[in-house]
Amino acid sequence: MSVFAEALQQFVHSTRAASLYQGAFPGKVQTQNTDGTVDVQPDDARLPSMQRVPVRWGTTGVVVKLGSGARAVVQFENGDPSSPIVTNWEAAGCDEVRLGATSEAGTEVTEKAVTGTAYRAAEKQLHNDVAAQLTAAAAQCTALQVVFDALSAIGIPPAVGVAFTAMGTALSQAASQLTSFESTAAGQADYLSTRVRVK
Amino acid sequence: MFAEIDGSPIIACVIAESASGRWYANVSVQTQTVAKKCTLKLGTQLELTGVLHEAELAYETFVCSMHGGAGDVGRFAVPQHYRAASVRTILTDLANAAGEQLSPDIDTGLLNQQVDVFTVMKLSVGSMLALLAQKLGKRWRFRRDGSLWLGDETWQPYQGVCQVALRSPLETMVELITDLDSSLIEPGCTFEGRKVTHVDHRFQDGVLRSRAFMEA
Repeated sequence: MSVFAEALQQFVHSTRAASLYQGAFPGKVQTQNTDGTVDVQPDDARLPSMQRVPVRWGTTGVVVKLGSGARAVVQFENGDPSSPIVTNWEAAGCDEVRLGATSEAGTEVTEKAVTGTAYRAAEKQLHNDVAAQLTAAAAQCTALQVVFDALSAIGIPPAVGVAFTAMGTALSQAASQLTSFESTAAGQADYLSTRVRVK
Repeated sequence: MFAEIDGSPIIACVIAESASGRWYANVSVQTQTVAKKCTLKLGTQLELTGVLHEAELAYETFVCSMHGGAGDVGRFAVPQHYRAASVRTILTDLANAAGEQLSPDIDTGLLNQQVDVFTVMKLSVGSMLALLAQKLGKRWRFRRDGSLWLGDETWQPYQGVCQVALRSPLETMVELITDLDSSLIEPGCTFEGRKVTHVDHRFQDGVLRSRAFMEA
């Protein structure tokens, strides 16, 4: 081999090595540590078993409790061998997800946690109460429309009565939509599950 | 001029020394009696200890290719995830995987430096050494004695006795004819105030010419 070829080979090898650290390596989580890091075994035999690797959940304020065998992807930030992270989780293997609101300084807020079902029940009650108020307001509008229709005989413009009619119709429709939402399957199901806690 | 490899007279040779990585030499000899671990001597000052990579017959002479070190940094490193490990630990593991010896010139403070995290993949040891050196902001290469070195350049001025045969501003290169009883220029020193990063030595017809490439 010529000395030039040797130099070129060294360059190619080092460049290729650096580029490999830019890759994404699927693997299996072995343990989740109390500090939130995980021990992970990449599938690729070129990588070792890795301990206490930081996790990037993909969003802020999330705490996830993993089951054994959860699958994810090992990557190296900036292609740096000293900055491994675990990210891109598969759906299976998650035992619990906590959505924790945080202040800008990163301190968790202290409001009492409620479960998804309790939150949902409170919200349903609110919807029903608002729908009832809207229905009552719509009835008021209808009554006023009758009054103003009668007053048109003494010169009150008929447009006022028409406006109250439109307002009553809009309020009635809003109430109907809220009631319909709460009574259909979508309204019952498309909400936070009982496995999610909101803080 | 005194020039031999493992006791066999040298007809001609080309030696490439870079600031990073291993040095490499192609040596032309009349008879192939070079051992796997061999020593190349040019004059009284240059002695390179390395490994015979290959030898082949070309133009009625044997061309022996040798490189720095005692083993082969082309071998695979053992995958390992280091946490709170010393540079000494990582470097020793890499050296062992390649059959190499660490240079006694490596700074002890550097060897004792702790690395928070470092993941070694199953790649060539040479590639992993380059990545480790990059992380630490250091250089690695094989010394002329065949040992593996990692550290900072000292950029000492070149003190050898030589004549400048050619200056090439375009390549930021000078070609030197060196007194063979004087030290030969090598990467990591300065010449006329410029940092030398690569050197080619060419020996033929009893004359040694060294082309020193410098940072612009």
